[in-house]
Amino acid sequence: MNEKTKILILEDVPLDAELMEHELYREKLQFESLRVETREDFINELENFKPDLILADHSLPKFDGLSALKIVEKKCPQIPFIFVSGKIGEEFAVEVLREGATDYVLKNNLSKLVPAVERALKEANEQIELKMAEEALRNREEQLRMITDNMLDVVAQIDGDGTLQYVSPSVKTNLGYEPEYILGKSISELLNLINSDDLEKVKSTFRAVDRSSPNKLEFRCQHADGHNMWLESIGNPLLDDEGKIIGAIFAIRDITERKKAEKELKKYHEQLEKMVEARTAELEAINKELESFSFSVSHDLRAPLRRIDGFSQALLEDHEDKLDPQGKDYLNRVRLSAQRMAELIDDMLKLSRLTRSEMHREKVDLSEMADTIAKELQNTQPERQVEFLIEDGAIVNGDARLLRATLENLFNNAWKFTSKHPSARIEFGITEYNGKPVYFVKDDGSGFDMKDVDKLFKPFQRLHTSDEFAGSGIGLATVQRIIHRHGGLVWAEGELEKGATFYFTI
Amino acid sequence: MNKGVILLVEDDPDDADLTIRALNKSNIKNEIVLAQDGVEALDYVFGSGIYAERDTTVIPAVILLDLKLPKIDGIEVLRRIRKDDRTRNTTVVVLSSSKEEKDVLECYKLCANSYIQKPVNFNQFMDTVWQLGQYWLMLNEPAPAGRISY
Repeated sequence: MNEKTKILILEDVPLDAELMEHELYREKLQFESLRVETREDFINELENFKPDLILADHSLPKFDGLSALKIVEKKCPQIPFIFVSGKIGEEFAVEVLREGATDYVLKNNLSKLVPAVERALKEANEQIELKMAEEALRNREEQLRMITDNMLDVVAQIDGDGTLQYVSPSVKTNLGYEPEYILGKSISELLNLINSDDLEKVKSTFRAVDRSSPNKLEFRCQHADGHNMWLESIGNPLLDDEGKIIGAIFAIRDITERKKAEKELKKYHEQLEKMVEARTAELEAINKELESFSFSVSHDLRAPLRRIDGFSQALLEDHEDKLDPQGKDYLNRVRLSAQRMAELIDDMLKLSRLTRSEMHREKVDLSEMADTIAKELQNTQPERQVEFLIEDGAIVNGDARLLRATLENLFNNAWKFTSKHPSARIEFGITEYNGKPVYFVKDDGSGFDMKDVDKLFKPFQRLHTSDEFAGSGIGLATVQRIIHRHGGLVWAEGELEKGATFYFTI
Repeated sequence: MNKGVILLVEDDPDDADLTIRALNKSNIKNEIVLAQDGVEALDYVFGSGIYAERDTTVIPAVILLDLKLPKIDGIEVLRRIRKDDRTRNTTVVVLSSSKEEKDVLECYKLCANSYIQKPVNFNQFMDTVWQLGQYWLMLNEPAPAGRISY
């Protein structure tokens, strides 16, 4: 102890007091002392001096030890009180101890004083600590009680027999019952409040409340006003020191609103699913219609065209003598138009087939594909001076048939639009944009004006007349559809007479 | 050269005329019988209806079959021809306006000998018919008549 122990000495003989102090010094006790000899002084110094220990003589001229003890027991019973007197009878000793004295020491045996003082101080200290611990525990209990008393959820505790020992006041706001109605009842008495459909579930969960829990349960229960409500409970077993179950604590929550919301959500979900189903069926029907439309386009529109062409030809051959050159020219133009229209129909069907057909993704080597296409093109016109530059290693994941159609269209374009130049260069390569690979087909042919770039990918849009370059204007639209189906992007750059570059990602 | 009859199954008179013209122009001298719907085609092949008197041991050299036909469509005609032992091996060339994949597949599943989309360009059509004649009437050796079991 750092601080000096304050000792109040009630003693009329100063020498006796000094003897006591001497004894304490001798034993190296850190202390300060004050001597009083009247009742008045004694009471005053209890207040002012605030002693940690009192040493009192038995009889004084104007006061006595027993009275002093009674005052201390009344005012500050925690201060240890030791009698130090000349002689003391056994009866008196018993009496003072009964009155609350801590100890007594005989003046002629002062060697016992220090052990008595030390023992008394130690006991006093322990008393204080115990008190503080008790107070802390009481405070904690009060806090916990405050928490459970004020919780929105219901907390209930049962003992080993299933009798309700505690239920939080929130049982009133949640379930409409007064806590007093529930308290002291046994669980089995309360089961009739539970919806009969959930009763078995509740019972079996209840039986399962053992040390392996906590367990959670949702069930329906009757509110005091009769309406049904959904509750969620979590139970935890209460165990004694040996691990034996001595009860359980339940936290119970009103989840009626949540259940309602869940039900609503489920309803909306089902509605949504129905809508999706209906929409899918609609789309499938539209798809079927489209299919039959494209079938009839191919069949019904081609047939009359064939007849126009066939009979024009028959006219040219069988009645040649009756036709002048202009008449023959007109008939030839009729035939050309019919044939042209047939080509357009075919291209349109091809485009629609591309969008309808199923995709089969696999590893595709675009470089190898480009190489093959380049060789095929060169074979169609071996006399043309075209240099092909094909970069290796363009491996993608996509539909091989569709990607081949893409490369064929891009290479055909490059081949076609370089045909007016005596020599040409067509390149296939890989570059990078935003960290992703971008593939490109580049030529140094007739190119295009960037102001026309938006027209490039529209079906049947052509930047050239048929006399300049033949074609139906479906190639790049096809490319765009295929790339979009792969989730990629396609764009173009060009300059008149300098060439064009088509970029795409997969 | 196979001298048998060419059975042309075609409902559209214009198309029939143009096909007959193309056959004539290709120097194919075989007799051409025109059936204008599926029922008439089957009547001819199996000697029923208006062809009840016909000698059905004589099988057409080639059947040129359109798909879109009144009463019984071309696919069904093909199915019945293939189901019958007498005509299981008869040469059937489908001549159609469409080349929808499902039609092509269905015809080959039913063992059509060829599937040809009629080209719009009449010159090409002429070429096609000429090649047909060359192949099926001159080069091809037909299966012997009679019942053949597989």
